[in-house]
Amino acid sequence: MKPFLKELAEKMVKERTTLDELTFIFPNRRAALYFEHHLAQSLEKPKWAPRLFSIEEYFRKESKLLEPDRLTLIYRLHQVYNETLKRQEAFDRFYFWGDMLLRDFDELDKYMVNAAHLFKDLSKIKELDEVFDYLTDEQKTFLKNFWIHFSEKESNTKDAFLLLWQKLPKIYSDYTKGLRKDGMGYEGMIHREVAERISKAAKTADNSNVVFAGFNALTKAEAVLISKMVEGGAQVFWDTDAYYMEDRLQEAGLFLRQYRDHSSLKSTFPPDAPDNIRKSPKKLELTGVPLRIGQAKLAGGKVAEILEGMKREDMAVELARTVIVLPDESMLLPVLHSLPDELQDINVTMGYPLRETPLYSLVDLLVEMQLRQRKNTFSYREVLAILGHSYVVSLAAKEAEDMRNEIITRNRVFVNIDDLQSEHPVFPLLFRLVEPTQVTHYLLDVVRFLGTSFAGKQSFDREYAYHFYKQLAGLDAILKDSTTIDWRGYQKLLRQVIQSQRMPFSGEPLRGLQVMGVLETRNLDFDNVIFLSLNEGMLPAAASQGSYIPFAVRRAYGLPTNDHRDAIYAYLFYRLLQRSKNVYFYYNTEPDIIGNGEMSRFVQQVLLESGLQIERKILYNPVDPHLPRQIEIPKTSAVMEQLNRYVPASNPEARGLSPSHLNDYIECSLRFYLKHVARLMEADQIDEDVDARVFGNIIHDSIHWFYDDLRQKDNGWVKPEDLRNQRAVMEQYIDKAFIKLYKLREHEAVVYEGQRVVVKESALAFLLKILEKDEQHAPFQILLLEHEFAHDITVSDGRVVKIGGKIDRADRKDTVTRIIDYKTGGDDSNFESIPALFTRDGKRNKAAFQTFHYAFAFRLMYPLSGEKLMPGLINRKSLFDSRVGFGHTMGKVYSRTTISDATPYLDEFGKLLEQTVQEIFDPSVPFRQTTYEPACEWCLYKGMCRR
Amino acid sequence: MAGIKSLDPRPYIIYRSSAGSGKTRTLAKEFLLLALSSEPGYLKHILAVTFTNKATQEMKDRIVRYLADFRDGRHNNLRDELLKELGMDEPALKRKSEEVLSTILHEYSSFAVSTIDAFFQRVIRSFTREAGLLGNFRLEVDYDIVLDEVIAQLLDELGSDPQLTDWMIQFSSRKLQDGENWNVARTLKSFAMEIMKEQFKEIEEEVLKATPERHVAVRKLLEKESGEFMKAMSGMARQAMGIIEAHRLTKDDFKGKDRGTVFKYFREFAAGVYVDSSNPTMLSAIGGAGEWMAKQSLKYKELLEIAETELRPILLEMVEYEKTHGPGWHAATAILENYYSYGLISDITRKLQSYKEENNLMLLVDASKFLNGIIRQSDTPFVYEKVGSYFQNFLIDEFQDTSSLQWKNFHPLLKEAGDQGKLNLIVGDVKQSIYRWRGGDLSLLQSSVPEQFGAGQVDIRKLNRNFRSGGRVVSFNNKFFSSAAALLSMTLNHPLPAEVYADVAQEIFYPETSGFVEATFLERGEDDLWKKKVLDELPRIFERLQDQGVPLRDIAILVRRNDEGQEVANHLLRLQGLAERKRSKYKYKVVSNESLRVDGSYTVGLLLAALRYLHNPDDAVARGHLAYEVTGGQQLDTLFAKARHRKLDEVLPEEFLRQQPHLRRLSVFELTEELIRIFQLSVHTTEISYLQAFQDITLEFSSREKTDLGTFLEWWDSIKVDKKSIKVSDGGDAATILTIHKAKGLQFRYVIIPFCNWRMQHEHQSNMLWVQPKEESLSGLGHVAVRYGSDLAKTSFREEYELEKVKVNLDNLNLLYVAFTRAEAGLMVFAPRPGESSKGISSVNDLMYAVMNQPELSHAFDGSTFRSGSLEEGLMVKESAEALETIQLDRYHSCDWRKKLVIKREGAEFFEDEISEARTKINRGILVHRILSLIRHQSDAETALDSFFLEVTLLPEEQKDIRDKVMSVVQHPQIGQWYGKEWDVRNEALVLLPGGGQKRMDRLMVGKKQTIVVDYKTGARKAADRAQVEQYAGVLARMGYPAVTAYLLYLDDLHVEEVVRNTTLGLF
Ligand code: SF4
Repeated sequence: MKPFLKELAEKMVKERTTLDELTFIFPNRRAALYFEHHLAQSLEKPKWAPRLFSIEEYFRKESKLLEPDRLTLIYRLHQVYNETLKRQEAFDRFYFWGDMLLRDFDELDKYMVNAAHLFKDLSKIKELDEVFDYLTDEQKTFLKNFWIHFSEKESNTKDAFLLLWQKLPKIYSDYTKGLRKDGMGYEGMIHREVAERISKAAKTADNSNVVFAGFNALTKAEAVLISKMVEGGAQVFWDTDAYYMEDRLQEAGLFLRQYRDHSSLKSTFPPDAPDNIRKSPKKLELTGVPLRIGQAKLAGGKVAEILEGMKREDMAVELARTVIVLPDESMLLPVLHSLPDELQDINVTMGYPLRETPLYSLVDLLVEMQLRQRKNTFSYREVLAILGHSYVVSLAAKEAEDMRNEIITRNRVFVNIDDLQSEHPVFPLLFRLVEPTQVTHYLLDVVRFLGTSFAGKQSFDREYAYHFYKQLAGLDAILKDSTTIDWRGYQKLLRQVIQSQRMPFSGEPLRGLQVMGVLETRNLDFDNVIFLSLNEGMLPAAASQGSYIPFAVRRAYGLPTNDHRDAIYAYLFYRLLQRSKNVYFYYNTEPDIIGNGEMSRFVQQVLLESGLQIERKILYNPVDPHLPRQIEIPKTSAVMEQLNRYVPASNPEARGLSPSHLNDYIECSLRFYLKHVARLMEADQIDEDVDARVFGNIIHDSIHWFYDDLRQKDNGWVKPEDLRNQRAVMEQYIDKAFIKLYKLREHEAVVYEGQRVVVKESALAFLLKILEKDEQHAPFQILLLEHEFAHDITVSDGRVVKIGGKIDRADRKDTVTRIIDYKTGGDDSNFESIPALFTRDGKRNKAAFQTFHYAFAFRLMYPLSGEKLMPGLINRKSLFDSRVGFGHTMGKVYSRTTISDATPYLDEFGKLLEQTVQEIFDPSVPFRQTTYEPACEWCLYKGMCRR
Repeated sequence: MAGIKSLDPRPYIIYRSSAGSGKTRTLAKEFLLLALSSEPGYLKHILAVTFTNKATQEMKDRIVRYLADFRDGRHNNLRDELLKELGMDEPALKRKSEEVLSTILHEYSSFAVSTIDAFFQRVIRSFTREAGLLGNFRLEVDYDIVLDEVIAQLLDELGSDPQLTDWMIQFSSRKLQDGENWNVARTLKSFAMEIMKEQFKEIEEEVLKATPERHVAVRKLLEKESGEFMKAMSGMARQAMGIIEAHRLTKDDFKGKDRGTVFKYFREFAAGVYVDSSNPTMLSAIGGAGEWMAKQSLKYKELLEIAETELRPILLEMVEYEKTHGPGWHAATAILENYYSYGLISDITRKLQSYKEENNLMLLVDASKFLNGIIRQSDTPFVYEKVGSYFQNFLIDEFQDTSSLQWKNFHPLLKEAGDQGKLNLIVGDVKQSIYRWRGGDLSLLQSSVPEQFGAGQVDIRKLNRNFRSGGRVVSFNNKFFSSAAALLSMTLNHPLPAEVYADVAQEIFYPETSGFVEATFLERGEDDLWKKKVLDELPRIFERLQDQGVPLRDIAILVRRNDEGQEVANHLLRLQGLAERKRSKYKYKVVSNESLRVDGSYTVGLLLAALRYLHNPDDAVARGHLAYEVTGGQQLDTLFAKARHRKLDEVLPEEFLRQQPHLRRLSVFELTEELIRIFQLSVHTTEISYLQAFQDITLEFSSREKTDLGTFLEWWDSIKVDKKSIKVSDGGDAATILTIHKAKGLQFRYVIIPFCNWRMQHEHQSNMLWVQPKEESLSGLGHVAVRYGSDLAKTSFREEYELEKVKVNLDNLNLLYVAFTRAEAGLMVFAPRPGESSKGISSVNDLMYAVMNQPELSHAFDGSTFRSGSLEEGLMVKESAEALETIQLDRYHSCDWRKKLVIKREGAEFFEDEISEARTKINRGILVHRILSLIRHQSDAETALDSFFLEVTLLPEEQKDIRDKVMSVVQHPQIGQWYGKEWDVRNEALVLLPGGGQKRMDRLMVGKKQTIVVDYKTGARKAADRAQVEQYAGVLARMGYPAVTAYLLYLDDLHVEEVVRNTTLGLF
C-alpha cells in the first residue's frame, strides 16, 4: 500500500502549482525527509522545496529563547537548588535528580500546568475544592487520595518529601526567570511561551498554507498551537485506522479519539477512518526465541529470504521498503552482524549508546587510574587494562606490549609513571599525573588525539571521538570554576553524563535496508516489517525515567503517566501494521531474572483479540555438539627426535627427565608431551593472586639459604640452639627470596604491600614452624641441600636417557637418613603401594613418587651406606597437625604403616621407573589423553581436550 | 471498588498444599473469583506474588487462557466451579470474562502478577530520592563480579591498614593450616559470599557499626572471659598436682599412664591446656577413685586413699566448675578463634558499601532490607500510594520460601487489607521449603503468620488431593515421607521434621495402580563406581520408555548439583552421537538450561581459543589450542611445533592474521561475530545453539561496567556452570536435565534421579553461624560469627547449633520431597547402598535405605531394589501440553556490516585529518561553514554564533577562533557584500528535482536583476567543485531566475572563484 507520506505528497503536488509558500510540520525530522523525497518523486519539473519543520524546530523558530545543552541546564538548576535549599549538595550527586527535575519542569510547561498550584503543599489544607475550582471532581479525588496520608502520622520519608516539595515552586520560578533573563530556555519553556503567545493573540493569523501531518500524542502546548492554527485555516492530516479508532479500549487510539472530539480539531478528521489493519491482506508470523542473539540471526535469515525475491539492481530501492524495528537498542550490533552478506546498503536510524563504545571504556579506565594514583605510581590493574586497550594497541602495539611484559615479569603492583613513557606520543598523553581540576583537559587531549589519529580508516571511532569531545567540552564549561570536584565526584558525573548519551546513527534513509528504533518509525510505512524484542519492558519500554511528582498528582493535573506512554507505543506498534504486507514478530521466551519481560501486551492483544491469522513458532535448535576428538600423538620420527632433550649423547643441552616430568607422564602422557616435549606453555601472568607456586618458591629458597649458611659452620651439624630465635634471620631470607622472584633492586628494603604482606607473614610462619619441628629433631647432620642428582636409563633403541632432579634436603641422625621434600600444597603422605605410585587411572600420590625417586637416587649415589633411608615430606600436615609425624605411610586406609626404611622397596620402584621410561621412548606407544578425568582439573590443556 | 468479601469473616486464607495438589490452579482460581466478581477496574487492586520468574509467566498465561476460554465458550476444568461459586450463568461469565480480559490486555499494568523481587523493585524505584539513592541505579544479580572487584580493592589496602592486615594474616594462616587453597583472593571470595545472604542483611548494620576500637575492646573482653576460666581451672589443677607430687606419685601409678586419665587431666589443666572430660575413662573416674589407679602400682592402697579423700574432691569441683563455666569459655574461644573472619566481614561489607555507591548499583539481595527501611519510617499506604498502586487483595504463592525480611514488607499491607475485610490468600507447603540459603523461612508459614494475625482471622485450609501423580507414586510418597520424617526426628531428637511432615499424606486422584516407583541401591565400589553403573543404566531406561512410545520430552533427570547434571549430559550426548552414527532406532537427546556447557562444543572451544590468542599472543597454550581446533587434529606433532614457534601462517586463516589489530579493538561481542565469520563456524549447524548461547553471554557481558577482553576471560574462568550453559526454549524432543531446585513447581511424566546420595549436612565445612552470646559478661557483643561444626555442641551456642543442624537436615529432606514428587507416572531413583560400617543418617541414601526397611515399605524391598508397579504397566495417559511449531536456525548469518552502513558522519569532518602541530586540532572550516548557513545578513552573525555554540560546545579558545573567522567572512570587503540587507537570501536552498533528486545550494541571493549562488568549500580545491556549482546555475536558470552568477568560496583562505557569470535560460 501507498505510504502515508507519499499519499500526502501526491495530493499536494496535484493541488498546488508551487510549493515554496507551503509550510509542513511533522512530528520529527525524518518524516520531513521522507516527505521531501516523495514530493520530488511526484514532480515534473524542478521546484523550490516547501518549508519543512519538525514541530520542535517550528517552536524554536517561533521563539526568541535559545536552548542550551542539557548539562548547562542541569548545572544552572543545581545552583538555584542549592541556593533555595541553602544546601551544598555536590553536582555529581545532584545530576541525576536535576535531570529528573528538569524533565518534570519540562513536562509541566509543555502541559501548561500552573507550577505554583501543582507544587502546592496540600498536607495541611482541607479546602481543596476552593483552591482548585478548575479541576474536575475526579482530579480532586486523586489529589485528596494522595495528600490525605499527610494528615496522619509523621514520618521521615514524608518529611523528606515535603521539605523539597514546598521549595519547588520557588526553585521553578527562580530557575525559569534566570534562564529567561539570559535569553535561554529549555524545550518546555519554549513551547509554553509560543503556545501562550499564540493563544493570547487577538486575531488569528492566516494559516492556510500550513499543513500538519502525522501527529498522535500532543502535549498541551502542541494542541494549543495546532488548534489555533487550524482556526486560522491550517490543514491537519492524521494517520489513523478504524481498528483502534473505533475500539474504545484500544490504547493506540487514545489520543486520536480525543482529538476527533476536540472542538477545533474535530473538523480535520475525515468522517471514516480507513480500515487497513483488518482489511488489507497481510501475513503475520510470531516466533519465540530464547534470549537475544537468536532473534538477530532469525531476522537476518528473514532478510535473506526477502532478498531472494528481488532483482539485484532494484535491491537498494526495494529494500528501503523493509524495516527491522529494534525496541531494544542493544540489539543493534547483533542485528547488523547477522544480516546476509549479499546485502549492499544498510541504513541505521537510532541512537547508539556512548557507553558501549571502546572510547568510553578507555576514558573510564583513565579516570579510574588517576583516581587510584599513589605518589608517582598507578595501579597495575588499570595500567595493564589501558595498555591492552584496543586503541592503545592499534596505535602502538609494540611499545604497549613491551611495557606490559616489563610490568608482568617484574610483577609491579604499583607502576611508576616513568616506566610508562616511550617515543610514541600517546604514552605521555595517557600516563601523566593529573589533578582532578585538570581532568577534562586531560581527557580532551586524549580524545582529540584519538580523533585525529583514526583518520579515515576507522571513521566510527572518529564519530565516537566527536561525541565524546562534545560532552567533555560541555563538562569543561561547567566545571571550569569548580574547585571542589574530586576524582570520585568527577567519575560519577562523567559516568552519568555519558550513560545517558546516544550517538545518533542516521544516514541516507531512502536506500537499502532500514534498521531503526521504535520511535524512529513514526510516520513511515514499510512492506516488510521485522519486529524484534517484543517483550514487556521493551515494547512498551520500561518506565525508566522517574519523576518527582507523585502519580496521583500527575493524574490530577493531566501530566503524562505510564498509561500515556504505553498508549504512544501502542500507536506506533499498530501503525506499523496498517500498510504492511508481511509482519514478522520475534520475542524472547526467557523472562529476566526478576520476572519482567514476558511477551509484549501488544502481541497478546493481536493474538487474543484481533482475529488476524497469526502463525506461531518457536525457535528450537537441536543440541548436538561435535564430540571431542581423541587426541593422540603417535611417536613419529620427529617426536622421537624431540625426546632427545633427555638424551645427553645427542643433545648437549639435555636436561634430566625429572620426577615432576615423570609425574606428568604417569598422570597423562599427552600432558607430558604438550608440556615438556612440545613445550606449549602459558604466558607469564601478573601475579595479582600470589599463587601456590610463588609461595612454594619463597619457602624453598629461604629454607635452603638458611641451612646452606648453617652447614658451613659445623660440618653440617645442626644443633637445637641453631634453630632458636631465628625470626629476624628468616625475614632476611624471605626478603632475598622476594628480590629474586620479582627481580627487585638488590640491597634496597623490600616493601610489602597488597597481598605480599600476607604472603610474607604466612611464609614466615611456615618457615618458623619448620625450624620448630627441626629443633625437636636436632641435633642432626645435613647431608645434601638442593642437590642435583642424575642417573641413566638405557632404553630399547639404545639411547641413554638422563634422569635427574633435585633433592631438597637429606639429613642424618643416628642411623636414619631422611630424604626430605618441602611441600606447601595439600599433599598427603599416604599411599597404597609402590605400584600405586605408577597407576594411571586413579588417585596417586605424586609427592610420594618424588621422594621415593629421591631415595632411589640417593641409594644409587651412596650404595654402601647401609643406613635406613626415610623419605618424607615437610608439609602443612606434618607441621601443623600434631597427629602427623614425618615419613610416608603405606597401605590401605585401615592398615597403614609408616615406612621407616625405604630400602626394601627401592628395587621394585626402580623397575617400575625403568618400565615407565622405556614406555616414554617406545615408538609404538603414542602419547594419549588420560582416562582419569579428575587429573584434568587443573591441567593447562583442558580447553583443548574439552575436559 | 467493592471487591469480593468472603462469606467467611476471616480475611486470611492460608492454603497448606502438598505437592501436586493444584496450588497454582487454586491461586489462579482465587484471582479469577476476585476479578470476575468485581468491576473491571478492580483488577489493579489484586496483587498475586509468585516466587520465580517462570512461575509468574505461567500464572499470567493461565489466567489469560482461562479467561479466553470462558469468553469463547470453550470448556476447561475451572468453568463449572467458577459458575457455581460466582453464582453466574454462562452468558454472564462470558460477558464478564471478556470485560476482564480486555482490561488485562489494555490496562496491562493493572494485571499485577509478579515476583516479589519485581514488585519490590517497582516500589523502591519511586523512593530513591528520599532514601538518598541515585535513581538510575542498576540492579545487580551477579555477585561474583562485584565481589571480585571489592576484594581486589581490599587486598590493595593490605600493608597500609594494620588491622586488616592482621586479620588477613590470621585468615591465611588458618587456610594454610587447613590445607585449603592458597589463592587468597579466591578463598576470600567464597568466604565473602556470606554477606550476600539475607540472614546477614538483618545484622549488617550492626556489623558495619563495629569500629576498630570496638574490635579491640571486644577481643579484650573475650580474652578476659576465656582467661578467667582457665585461671580458675588451672589453679585447682595445680593444687591437685601439688598433692600428687607431695606424695611422690608419678604417671605410672595411674591407670593408662598419661593417656586420657585423671593424671593427664590435672597435668594439662595445670599447664593451662584444656582437656575434655567427657570420655568414658574420665566419666568412670569421676564416679569413684577405684578406677584411677594402676593395679600393678606398688602404692595402690595408699593411693586410693589419697585419691578418694584429697584428689577426687578437687576433680569434682573442677568438673562442676566446667559444667557451669565451660560452655561460656568454649563460646569465647570459638568466637576468638574465628574473630578474624568477623573482622574481615565487616571490612568487606564496608568496601562493598562504597563500591555500590561508586558504581550506582543495588544488589538484588539488598532490596528487601532497603524497602524495609522505607516502610519502617513511614506508613505503608503512603509508600504504595506514591507508586500509584493501591492493592487490596494479596495472593502470595510459594510462601514457604519467603524470607522474614520480605514478609516484614508485606505484613503491613496484608494487615491493612485484612483490617478492611479484604480477602488475602497465602499458599505454600513447608515441605517444599528448599531456599533457606536465600533467606526462605518456613516457620512463617508453619506458625508465625497465623499467630501474627490471630486465630480468629485466619482460615487454614488444606489441599490434600494429589492431581499430579499416579496412585503408586502418591502412596509411595505418603508412606516414605511420613516414615522418613519420623525417623529423622528421632535421630535428631527434635520434633521439627515430624511436625513439618505431619500432613504429608495425600489422597489419590488417579487409579490406585497407576504409575510406578523404582529405587535401586548399588554397591558403592571404588572411585564411585556406582555412578558409572547408573550412567550405563540411563540409556536402558530411555530405550524401555521409547519402546512404550514415550517421547523423550516427557522424561526429566533431576540432579542435586550442576556438575552431576553435566556428567549425565555429557554421557548422553556421547551416546546420542554414537546412536546417530549407528542409525540406532533409539534416541538419547537431552537438553538442559543448566548443565550443557557452551564450551563443551567445538565451535565455542575454538572461539575461546581465538579469544585467548588475541588477548595474549604469547600464550603458547592458546596458540596450540587454536591451531589444533582449526586443523582438526592433523599431524599434531608438527602442528604443535609450529604453534610453539609462532609459525602458524599457513595454519590460521589469512584474514585472521591480517585483521588482528582490527580485531583487538572490538568489543567481546563483536569479536565473536567476526571470528565466527572468519573461521566460518556457522557451517556447523548442529552447534548453532552453542554459538547462540555463547554470543548471548558475551552480549550480556557487554552491558557491564568493565567489558574488556581480559576481564571477560577472567570472568569466564571463574563463573559457574549454570551461567555458561545453553538456553533452550521448551519444545523439541529431548529429555530435560535440571537441578532439583529448578524443578520445583514443575512436573514431568517420568522422573529419574540418578545420584540420590547428597549429604544431610552442609556440603561445605566453612559455613558460618551468626550467634548472640547469652553469657552476661559477653552480652554486649551483639552478633558474632562462629564456624558451624560439632565443636559448637560444647559451647553455650549449643542450642543454635542443634537447631541449625535440624534445619540443614530438614532442608535436605525437603529436597528429597521436591524431587520425589515431580513425577506423574514414574519415579526412578538410584543410590549407593550404605556401607556396613556406616552408622546413623548422614546422607539421603542412608535415610532412604533405613526407610525402605521400615514395615510400611519393606514388603516391596529386597535389600537392593524397591519396586512398586513397573515401567511397562505404569504408563499413564495424560494430555501433553500443546506444542508450538518449531523452527531451526539452519544458517547463522554473519556479515561485515561496517562496509555497508550508510551513515551521516559528523566526526569525520570535525577533526583534522593530520596531526598538524604538536597538539591536534579540530576542523574549523567545517564549523564555519555550518555557522554561515545560519546567517542571512551580516546583522545575524552574532546570534548565529551564539546559538551555534549553544548547540556545539567548544572550548573557549576554539570558540574565539571560529568567531573571528566567521566575522572575517561577513565583514570581508568583497564577500561581505553578499551579506547585505538588499538581498533576498536563501541559505541551504533546496530544489526538488523530478524523479526524487534534489540540490541543496549553500547560499542563494536573489536581487532585482541578478541572482547569485555560492557554495562554501573547505580544504583543497577540487575540479568537481566547479561542476557542482555549474549545475546549480543550470537548475536556477531552468527555474527562470535571471542572470545567474555562481561562485565558489574557499573558506580556508577566503578565496572567491567565479564559475558562471550572468547565465540565463537558453544557454543550457
Ligand atoms: S586435559 Fe586431561 S587429558 Fe588433556 S592433557 Fe590435560 S590431563 Fe591430559
